[in-house]
Amino acid sequence: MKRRLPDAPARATALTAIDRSLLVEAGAGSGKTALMAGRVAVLFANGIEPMHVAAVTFTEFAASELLQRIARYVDALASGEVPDQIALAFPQGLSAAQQANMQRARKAIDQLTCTTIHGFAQKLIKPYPAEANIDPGAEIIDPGEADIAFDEHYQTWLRAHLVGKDHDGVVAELVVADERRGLKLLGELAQFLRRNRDAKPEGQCWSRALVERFIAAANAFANGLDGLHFREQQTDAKCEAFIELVEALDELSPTASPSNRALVDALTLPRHETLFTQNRKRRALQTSGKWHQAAAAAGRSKSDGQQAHDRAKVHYESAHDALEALFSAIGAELLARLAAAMNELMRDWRDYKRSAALLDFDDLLYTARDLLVSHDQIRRALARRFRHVLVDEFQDTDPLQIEILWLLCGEPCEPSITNRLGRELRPGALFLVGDPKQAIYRFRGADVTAYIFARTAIGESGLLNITANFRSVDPSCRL
Amino acid sequence: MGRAHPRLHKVFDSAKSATSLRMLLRDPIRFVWRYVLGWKQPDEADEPLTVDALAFGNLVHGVLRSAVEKLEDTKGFAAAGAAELEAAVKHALGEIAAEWEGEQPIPPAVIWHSTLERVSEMSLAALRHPLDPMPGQKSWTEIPFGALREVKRTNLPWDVARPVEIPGSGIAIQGQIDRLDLAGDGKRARVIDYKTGRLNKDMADVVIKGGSELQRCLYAFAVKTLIGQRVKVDASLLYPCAEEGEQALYPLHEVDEVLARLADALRIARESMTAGIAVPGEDADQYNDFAFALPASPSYLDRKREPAREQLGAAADIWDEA
Repeated sequence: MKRRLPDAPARATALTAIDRSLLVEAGAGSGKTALMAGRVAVLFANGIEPMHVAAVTFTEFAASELLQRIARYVDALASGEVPDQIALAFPQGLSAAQQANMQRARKAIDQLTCTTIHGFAQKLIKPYPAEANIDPGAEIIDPGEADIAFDEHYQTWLRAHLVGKDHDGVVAELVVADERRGLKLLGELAQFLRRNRDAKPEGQCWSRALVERFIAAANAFANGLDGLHFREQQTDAKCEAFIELVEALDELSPTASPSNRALVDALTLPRHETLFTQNRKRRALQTSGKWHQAAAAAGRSKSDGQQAHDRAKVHYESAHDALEALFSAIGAELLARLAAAMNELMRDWRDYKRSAALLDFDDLLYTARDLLVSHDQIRRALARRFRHVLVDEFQDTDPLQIEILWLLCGEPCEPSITNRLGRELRPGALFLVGDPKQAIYRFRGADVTAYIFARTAIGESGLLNITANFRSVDPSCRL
Repeated sequence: MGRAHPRLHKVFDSAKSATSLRMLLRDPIRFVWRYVLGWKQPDEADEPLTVDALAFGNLVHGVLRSAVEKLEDTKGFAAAGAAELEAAVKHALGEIAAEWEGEQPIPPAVIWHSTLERVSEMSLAALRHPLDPMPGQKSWTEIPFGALREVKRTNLPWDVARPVEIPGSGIAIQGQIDRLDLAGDGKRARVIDYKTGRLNKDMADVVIKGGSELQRCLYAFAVKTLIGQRVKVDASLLYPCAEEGEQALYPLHEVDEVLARLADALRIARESMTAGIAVPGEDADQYNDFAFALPASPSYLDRKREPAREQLGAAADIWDEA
């Protein structure tokens, strides 16, 4: 690669600015692995020992590829050769001191940490089983096996909730109301709670006032129509449908804490087609023409008709608003009750893993996060050990993983700041490579807001763009 | 499988069910695995969480049979009133449920009871569906025909062991007719096939649905063969779960003409199979228990669709029929 690339300055910075934390945005085929491996080599050349460097990749395979690449560069540099791909890092070749550093690094290369985020988390917690509250001999359970084991626990829990004949358990009610969709929802919720331990349902969701508000809105609609001197059929039908809903929701109104059955029944009420479209969205009130006709038939002016329509529309929309608020509160209340019922399942699952000395991938991350949060001394010790952390495929990193990285590579700006991400990154501690375009196409527990947060935290000055693409450079394009 | 392999001939020695003929027409390679080689999916021994669609159908059919038999024993099904129907279904449901509970693992109580409730609703809806009673009507449910084994049932309108052969195809059929109503003078018959699954919107346009909807046609033919060519047979699918106002009964028109086309298609399919052509067909990606026996590439079926069709030639033409 003797030819100078248009983004050479950015590449040179990414390779050599080891005293700055950076986020490199690089597209597919732009030589990201070479960049990561090159930066690691530059760290070594500057006398940083391999044990202080951690390179985190998305897959085990990528980790082994990266490690091979680093080893190749280190071998070459130790014997004084500069590989083409990282020529930008050593424009003048290696100094004698740098070469000596390289030779030392070559001997200690097995102390380099090059692994996935889960492997890295394991490395963080392993020396501190007591503080991390894990079994010192705990083994990592393979994700497939973990899924099977979790499913067994889920099935046992589910069956336990489905044995009674006619009790009012929220799980049973949901399944009886709609077996297929109910079971699907339960399964999804269990998986969600398993993956998102920090998730908590909203506190108070249900309020009697919401039913009362809807009843009042529906009655106001009916009274409003009654007060007019002429009627319009379609609007009448819609009002009728609201009143039917009021009657159907009757069971909910008098109680501060409605039964599970009443809630499930309310949520599964048929959505009347005059009020809702086929995909259960609010149907618009499009009757102004009809109101004009109705006014004319009653010997009234067109503007009377328009006025009546406008008033009916206000009532119609506010009845819908009240109903929407009510349904969403019912949904939230049911969800909260289900989540509460699942506490038991989640506890069983934790106890099982604990007694079998197993850690799943999520345990690794949560345990690492909790260890870093609650033991500042350990956090400092780990930060001294892993002084330089490099992360590939950063767009796929989820908020929890970002939290771990920030805890490790940052220092609290002020003790009063409780936001764990409100930390100042130590200069040069973190080097992130990501392709934001891929984050848009692929959500693997990652979310774009996490990426955007990290981008903001790094700041404009730490942002580099690598755009040149080796997979479509001139020679291959000319083919 | 080699051309003209003895097993390919032997498989047609015994009478075939509508399900197996559907597979012969729509997924030849699976027909070979399932019926020629006799591979079977092992039964799930575990305790089920829910009653699957097939088992649900069996429950409904069991209830219908027991209920109608009981009614026929007394004043006759056609003459039974709403309350009698309800009582008969309730009684039958109790019997069938006890039988199931005694013989096989059942789902947890909440699901089992709600399933039985749905079974009861569907059975009642099936029996209540208004069909004009024919003079002197006699009704049967779940009656076998073309069966090789001994069947312990009395008062059946025909000899269940009598073979029913599709003309020109050399294929004999067997099966169970969900419900047969026969007029007292034996001149009119009504064949109903109950469908417990979901109702498709385009059902009214369905004749044999590319070879996947064979029951109506085959059972009408069986009744004609067994009762006598002079009987006029109406064959329909009935969806007891159809919503109010929705069409629930779907009769097959032009039975003879449809049967002629189907007989043709079966003959061609059999010849093609005997010639050793067994490739994945139109149904290869539909609830395929044997998918594991196909190459594991996810795009395999997509890539092979066209070449497979080309190989099958005329044997695939039936897939395009309404």
